[in-house]
Amino acid sequence: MVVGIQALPFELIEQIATNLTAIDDLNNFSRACRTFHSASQFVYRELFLSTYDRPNGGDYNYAHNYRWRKIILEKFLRSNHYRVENLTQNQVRVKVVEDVPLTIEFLEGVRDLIFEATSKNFAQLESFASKSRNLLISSHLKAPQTQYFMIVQILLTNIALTNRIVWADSEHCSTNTQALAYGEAGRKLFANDYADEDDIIQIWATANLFLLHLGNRISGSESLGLKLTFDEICGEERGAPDLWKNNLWVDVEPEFHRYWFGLYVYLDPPDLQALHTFRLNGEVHQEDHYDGKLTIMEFLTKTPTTFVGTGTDADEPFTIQGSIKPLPTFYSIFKFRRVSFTTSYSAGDGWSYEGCLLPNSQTILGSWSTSDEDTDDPMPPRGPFIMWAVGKEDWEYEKALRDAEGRVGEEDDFLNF
Amino acid sequence: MSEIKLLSSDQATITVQKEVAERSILIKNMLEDVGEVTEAIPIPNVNESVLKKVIEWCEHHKGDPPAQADDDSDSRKKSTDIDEWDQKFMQVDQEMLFEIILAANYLDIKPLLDVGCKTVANMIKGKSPDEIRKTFNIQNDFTPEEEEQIRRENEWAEE
Repeated sequence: MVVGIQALPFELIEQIATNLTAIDDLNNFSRACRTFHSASQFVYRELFLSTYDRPNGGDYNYAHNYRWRKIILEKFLRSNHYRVENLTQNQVRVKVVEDVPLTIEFLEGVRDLIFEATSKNFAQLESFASKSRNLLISSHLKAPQTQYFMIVQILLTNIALTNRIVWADSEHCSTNTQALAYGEAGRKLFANDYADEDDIIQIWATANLFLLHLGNRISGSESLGLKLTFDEICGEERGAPDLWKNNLWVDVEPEFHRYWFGLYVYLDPPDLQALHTFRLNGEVHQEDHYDGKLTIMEFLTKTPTTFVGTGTDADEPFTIQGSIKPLPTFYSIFKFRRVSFTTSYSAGDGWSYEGCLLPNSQTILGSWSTSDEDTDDPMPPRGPFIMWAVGKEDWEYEKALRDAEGRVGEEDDFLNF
Repeated sequence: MSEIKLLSSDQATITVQKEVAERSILIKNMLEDVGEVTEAIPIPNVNESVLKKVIEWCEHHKGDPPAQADDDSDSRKKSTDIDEWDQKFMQVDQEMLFEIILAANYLDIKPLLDVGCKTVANMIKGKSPDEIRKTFNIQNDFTPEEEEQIRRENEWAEE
């Protein structure tokens, strides 16, 4: 019998594949026959994990995602329209060198990362939007915002290429997590007086997290990083955050709404660290460690810069004290406002929230942490949150549901302002 | 210099220096386990011509430092580097090439296995899927659905 390549045991064919260092060679090899296709998956996985953090999904398509990131995103990044500065291991600052019209190729390349579009390319974007599930378009943006648009895209693209990042694309988001957003949103906002821009970039990362995890849910899936999905927590027709209404920025006077729904995410810091340092050996199962909980809150403005309120999360009612103040103009977009508040439970404990009220006055994104932070704890619990303004009816409906379920304390437990 | 005898699958006895034979971790462990041997050691999976070829390689490389057991970390970077002598050594027909790879795997001669796999990888490089099939005389066994799936996965990667 003549011995051919197919007489080799599978592991030897895998070993041959590991010597295919050029991605094109590996792609062609994987397309020759089923055995080679199977053998190459191991190599794609090895390549992916040598560059990126491990995604959580058991059936993650390493081949597809590795090719996508390597080929498309690197092609995108070879353009010379911006400059990337690594501030620290965890911080990247992107500067646009020149303002250029976007091309549809750009958009194809970053389709799962696009956040905002500009009127400059609106015709292209409209056709593109029909194909994309993860594109937010603000038709009101004008030319000055192009630079801002570029910044967001480039930032997110770089984020996707940064070693420590896992991001969930729209097809796989139900089984994967976006460690970046978790990690960055876990960083305390406004810790540095001179870092407002960094803070706002972080806000976008947080928005991306919630957009991906809540906006592209696959029904019936239990493996979401966020166990409670958007539809389940507040119904399809009630009080959708404006993040879902393609309207992050509108030319309206700033308001501070009274009724809010919120969702926060907890990721145990040691698990987050494990995720960041994970490489080939070992497993990280983190789905069990974060949770999404719907919080309902009612804010009452006390002065132009302070507010008080009440609310309840999944466990018990709390009171709120907070402040609000304008933030500097961010890439030609003004009306970002910093919102800080603490919640207090009857037992004396509570949480601290730091975030941004987006220019549409409808959404607050940020990070939460313990209010009485233990300075000895190097990694105190914290995570990202989103809140969105809702109508009085939606809010009262949700509150009535909770009252009926006995999840809210007696009326006397609420302070009346 | 002590010598040992190896018995190929087709019952040929080949005498070889112990130091050369011990490039094979399988044989080395066997000799350590049984001590002195006077009988020929059977190598049931390897025929005479392949065994001679493998011994030729072992003789040439008998002075090489032992392979690092866990040196996989940057193996990809070195993947195209094949020693000139090894390149000539591997200029054999495909059947012999795969027989050498199988023998190196069985006899646990990692450096020879690496050279064999790299040689095959070099035969793949720069070829289209169809050319790869022709080179190794293999059939395209994807179903039409699988073909379509693969095509879609790759379409954006092509210019």
